[in-house]
Amino acid sequence: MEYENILEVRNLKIIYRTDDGVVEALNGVNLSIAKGKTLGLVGETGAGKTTLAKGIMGLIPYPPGEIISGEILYCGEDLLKFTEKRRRKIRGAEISMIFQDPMTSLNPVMPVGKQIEEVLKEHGRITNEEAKKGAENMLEIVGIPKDRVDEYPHQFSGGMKQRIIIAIALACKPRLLIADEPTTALDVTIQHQVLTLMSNLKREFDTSLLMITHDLGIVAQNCDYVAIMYAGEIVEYGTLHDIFKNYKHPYTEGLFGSIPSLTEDVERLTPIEGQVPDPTKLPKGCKFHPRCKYVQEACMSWDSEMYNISSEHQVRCILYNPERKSIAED
Amino acid sequence: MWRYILKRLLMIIPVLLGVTFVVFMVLSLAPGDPAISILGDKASQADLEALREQLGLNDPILVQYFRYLGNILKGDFGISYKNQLSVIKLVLERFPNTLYIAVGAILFSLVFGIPIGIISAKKQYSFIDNASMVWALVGVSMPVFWMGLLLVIVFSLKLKLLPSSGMGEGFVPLLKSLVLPVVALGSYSLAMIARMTRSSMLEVIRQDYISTARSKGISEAQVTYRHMLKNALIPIITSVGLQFGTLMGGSIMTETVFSWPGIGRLMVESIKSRDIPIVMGSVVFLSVVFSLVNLLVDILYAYVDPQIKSQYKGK
Amino acid sequence: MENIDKKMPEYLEEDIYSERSLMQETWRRLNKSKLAMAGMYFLILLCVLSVVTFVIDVVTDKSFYNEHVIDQDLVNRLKGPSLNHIFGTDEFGRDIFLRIIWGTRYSLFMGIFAIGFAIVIGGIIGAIAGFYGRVTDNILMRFMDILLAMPPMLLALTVVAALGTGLLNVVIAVAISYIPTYARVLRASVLTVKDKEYIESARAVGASNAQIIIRFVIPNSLAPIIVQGTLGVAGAILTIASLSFVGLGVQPPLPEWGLMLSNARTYMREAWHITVIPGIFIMLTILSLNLMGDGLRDALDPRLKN
Repeated sequence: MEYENILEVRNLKIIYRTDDGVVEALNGVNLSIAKGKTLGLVGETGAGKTTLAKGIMGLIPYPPGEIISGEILYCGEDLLKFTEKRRRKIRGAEISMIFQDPMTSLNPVMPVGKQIEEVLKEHGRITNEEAKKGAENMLEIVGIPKDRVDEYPHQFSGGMKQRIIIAIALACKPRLLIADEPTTALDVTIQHQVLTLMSNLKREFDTSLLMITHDLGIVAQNCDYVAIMYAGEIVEYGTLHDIFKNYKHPYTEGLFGSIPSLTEDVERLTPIEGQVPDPTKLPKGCKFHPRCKYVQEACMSWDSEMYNISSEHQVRCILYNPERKSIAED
Repeated sequence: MWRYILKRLLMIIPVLLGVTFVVFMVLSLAPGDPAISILGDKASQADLEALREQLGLNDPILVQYFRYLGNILKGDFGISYKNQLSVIKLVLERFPNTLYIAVGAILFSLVFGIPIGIISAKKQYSFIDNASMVWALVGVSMPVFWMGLLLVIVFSLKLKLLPSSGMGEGFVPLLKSLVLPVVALGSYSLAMIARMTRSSMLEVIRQDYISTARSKGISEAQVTYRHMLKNALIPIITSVGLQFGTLMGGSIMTETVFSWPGIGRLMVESIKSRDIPIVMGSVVFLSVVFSLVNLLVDILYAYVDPQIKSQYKGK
Repeated sequence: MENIDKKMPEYLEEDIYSERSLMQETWRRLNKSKLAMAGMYFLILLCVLSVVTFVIDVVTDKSFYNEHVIDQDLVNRLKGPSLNHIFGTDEFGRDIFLRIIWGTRYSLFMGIFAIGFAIVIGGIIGAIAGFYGRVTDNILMRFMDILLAMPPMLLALTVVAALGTGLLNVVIAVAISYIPTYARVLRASVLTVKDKEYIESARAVGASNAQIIIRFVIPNSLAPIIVQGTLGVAGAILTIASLSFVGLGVQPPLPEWGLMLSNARTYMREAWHITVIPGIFIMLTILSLNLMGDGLRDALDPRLKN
């Protein structure tokens, strides 16, 4: 089967029904990841990044969460049309995920080796012996001595725990790895170690990577493509170069403007005005317009869509509508 | 692991000694002259005096205590005032009967309580959850003896299915006579354990490692058993340990309702008849048992919780 | 008290103001739980009825009590519920409804009294242990451990065995078995507060130990004491009823609920209403206390504070 993209998300809409109202978590997300490439997904807390990740994995709890519309194409097939059984076959074996906080992401009462064995045994007919060897092997690959295979999570440091989690996620050599803020909870020095490990393994196993983060520095060092997310939508998408050197969306501009610089002498950081919107009461029209420096009358009633800047660079902003002139004239 | 056990055992001993001391002192306050209790109030002064000398009742209280303590350590808990029987013999005769009910009650509460708790947690806010928790709340508020009486009314008097009192002889009659006392005594524990399991499971369900487990593609059942339950069990074990004390208290009531020949009834009757040695012996004996059970629970806990286990591994 | 106000720096006064709003805040949150409120109303109803019985006793010089609650009327024995007697009559022909209402004081009030006693004594012990630390702490806590090494009912039985039966002795027995719980609570509160920085500031302006205990330790420990206290009263009522049931507590002819049940045993066959009804009241009272205790625990949970 010919496919260019490992993963293609089309117009994905996910909501949560809570006591406080309907949370519109994802509002028509589109993105794609090519084979062997890394896509960085950037956004503030609450933008919907984790929901997207869980949606792809199929881990959205059915009440209260609900997938209203959209498609998630994995190697050309829509995952949302799969039975749960089939999705489980993919989960852990072909699409894996690592979560945010390594300190709490491992089962405290199970030896780490067994936790790796678990995923191996689930996705292959292998004997206990083979599973044990596989687990030891993975530990070595992530840089943990294999004689620690029977120890418990609390006996490892944060960085090592994260490496064990990576070992679990990559044990079955998945085609796509989703990493949800994998280094946020770690010290800066450990961060570097873990990221280096991840990029090495990615190359070795030829895995595509969806790297979710709010740290632009990490994006700069690891990603081929970048998607900027705001209030459940992708507002800008492009290559690393496009986004870092030629960003277009006002929100992206705001993100870059609020980074402290080592080289420049800046009097004050310029944060983005306003606050992330309440997901139960999202603004009408462009979801960013209440905070936008360049806001116009038309923004409030705009049916948002993505406009192409170049073949791989897209923006969701009325300012870049090729027919903009005609709107202004009206 | 042995080090841990030894350490805990060493810690219990002074406490148990303290218990014997407190119990002895408190019960010495009991009004009544032991000599009269034994010989009856028609006995002559001379006989009474002689007996008092013989029993060492004229010695200072501390001396009496140490004598008692020394005797206990040799296994001699004294003799009953009323019928001269050996206290320890009586206690050991009756205790197993109480054990039948107590152990039965714990098993009853675990076998039904844990599954109810798990289901309630997994289907939080559903009808099953709400109904079970309401029931559990009621169960926790029902006095054991009332529960027993109600069960007797329904199952013995109206439906005539099960015996209303006494301990059956022979395997089947024994089981039949055990049912009602076990259910009566176990209801409270059942409710507690169901609630405890539910809240423990709810804590565990929210944890990140459950997401990790699910992301491996294993079935929900495996997630529940391997990841949720094993972690939720730890506080439940503690809860069970605490339950044991309540059960011991409750068994006294249950035995009264069902005229069960256990140690609880022995104690109550001895208190009424002012037979102090039996009371003292029973209390000390039961306190030792209670402490040992707590020790067992602690050991079990240490075995299950890897953080403690790894501390003592290979020692 | 005014002198203290003048001496202490401003930010310490905030502690007292936040105390006031804590009560209102707690009340508001408690209101959210219908069950907890239902429990509370039931208890209030019982208390009111019980107070009425006290008034009647005083006004009629106990004659009403004697005539309707104590005296026997064997003609009317074991009658089921009827218009005359809402809950029927017992084996001596006495109206059960009246006996239950008059009996409230032996269960509810005595339970509250026993726990109150335990809180005060246990609290003092715990506070001293926490405050003076080290040796004192060790000795006192070892003693508490000894009390805790006995299952609670066993401890109560021992005291009853020593002191004899009767209302007062039962209350003492129950109180003693709950002392370790409250000693622990107070000790924990003292330890938490002891190391806080505002204590140093308070001492710096000359606050004495007593003032510190009153202004800081007690407010800090109010929350767990209220919760544990409510649940403790439930347990105390159960213990009093249980002891009376086996004949070691309150003695006849007093209308204590557990005692009523023990007499009822003999007549289970013919008249099951005397078994069921007092039991229902015991259960409802304990249930209400449990509901309130749970509700209070949720309402006072610091994690829910904004």
